[in-house]
Amino acid sequence: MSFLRRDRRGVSVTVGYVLMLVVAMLMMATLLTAASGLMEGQSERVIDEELTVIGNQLAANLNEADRLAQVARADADTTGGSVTVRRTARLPDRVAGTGYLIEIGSGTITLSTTNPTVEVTVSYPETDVAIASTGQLTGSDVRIVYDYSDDELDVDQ
Amino acid sequence: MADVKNRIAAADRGVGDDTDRRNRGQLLLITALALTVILVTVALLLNAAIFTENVATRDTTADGAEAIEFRIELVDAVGGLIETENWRNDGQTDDVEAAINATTPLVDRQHARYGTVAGVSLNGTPRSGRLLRWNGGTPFTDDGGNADWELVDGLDDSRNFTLDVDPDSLATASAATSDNDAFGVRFNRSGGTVTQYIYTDGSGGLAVAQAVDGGTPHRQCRIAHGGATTTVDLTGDRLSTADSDTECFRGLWPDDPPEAIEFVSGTAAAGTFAVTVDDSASPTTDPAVLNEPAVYSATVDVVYQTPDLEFETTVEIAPGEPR
Repeated sequence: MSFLRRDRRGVSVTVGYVLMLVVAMLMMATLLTAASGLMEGQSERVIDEELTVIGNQLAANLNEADRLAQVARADADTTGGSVTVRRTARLPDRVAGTGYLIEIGSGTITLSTTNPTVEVTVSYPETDVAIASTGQLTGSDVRIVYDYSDDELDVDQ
Repeated sequence: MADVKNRIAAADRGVGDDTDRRNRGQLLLITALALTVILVTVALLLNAAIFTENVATRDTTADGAEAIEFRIELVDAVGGLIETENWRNDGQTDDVEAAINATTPLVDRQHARYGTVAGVSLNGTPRSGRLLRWNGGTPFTDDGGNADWELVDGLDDSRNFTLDVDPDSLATASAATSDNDAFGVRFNRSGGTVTQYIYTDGSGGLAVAQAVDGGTPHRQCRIAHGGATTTVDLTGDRLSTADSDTECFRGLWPDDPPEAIEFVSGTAAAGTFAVTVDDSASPTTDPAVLNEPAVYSATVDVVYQTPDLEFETTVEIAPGEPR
């Protein structure tokens, strides 16, 4: 068998094959890295955009509830009658496949996701009726209820 | 010469060649699958982005505006009903009650067609009042010819107080001198008076000046009367002729509800007037003023419901109440 160790015929084919494999692997690794990076970037952009839209929709609902509450409050002040203002803001459960959190502050709504980490703050005009919302809400439908006795809009789920 | 021993040996074993062939290309296959997954995900993200843009252009709060609009329409409709009853009929609360009850199912049915629950129902019974109208000649003096006289006393509420005056009958004055001899409507309230003097300014304008507690009058607003009858809407803060209309932003009605209404210098104006007062008031018994039964107000419960909104309120409707 020692003659095989001295035999160098066909070595170039093996080397060529290995080189081809290496080059192919490099190319594929590059492609996968680039594509996954693209996906990650696009995902963040889409989440950012969706959270902005959701924030604006929630803000519009809050202001709408505020207008209705003002009308109802003025009526109740005059007549002493009962008042009901209940509004449901229909919001999606997930944005780009991930859940999100909502935090309502004074004049701002902050929406955030953890994977990937995106945070969006939407401003809205200050409401005439104070908004009572404690802590963070899970991204989903939100109920806005006017409490005449406390003169505030309670936001919960 | 190429080395073919291994291939021949493999062929002799009868298995090696096929197994090698099967093993080849796995790297490509896995990469292709991974890329496919990534591209499909990107396509889904793009889809989500397009859907988001679509959602962003939708108005999700239209039903709130519709609820407020429904309430406004209802206030207008019942207000019109009350005024029709007072002016064209005999001002009976029973008639208004029957008309509102008759409207309830119609409103319900109309909105059911559009997938909303909307309702109106009478809360209690309509409140009765008195409609006081001018029945005298010219000018605005009482039956005994007195220029200063009291129209009504003991007022809790009053609404829709309008005067149609002939500008040619008015005294010519300026705001500062209007309290000398111009016609005025005086509102007595706890702790003082507010008087609105109505006069022409000598340049084709009818003006109203307000004096508080007998102080110097200040002009509230003016309208070019064009020689035609001009309406002074004291509760609506408005002057109008057939051709034009002026909002009196400074106001023509006192801030505090008046307890009595008087006319001063009634000889300096001619025309007609009308005011609706609540039932507790004591109007003059002077024959120059018609005192007729009227409906002062009606209280209704308003309901408007959609899948996303529930709005219920109770409204007191008294058309022409001071703003």
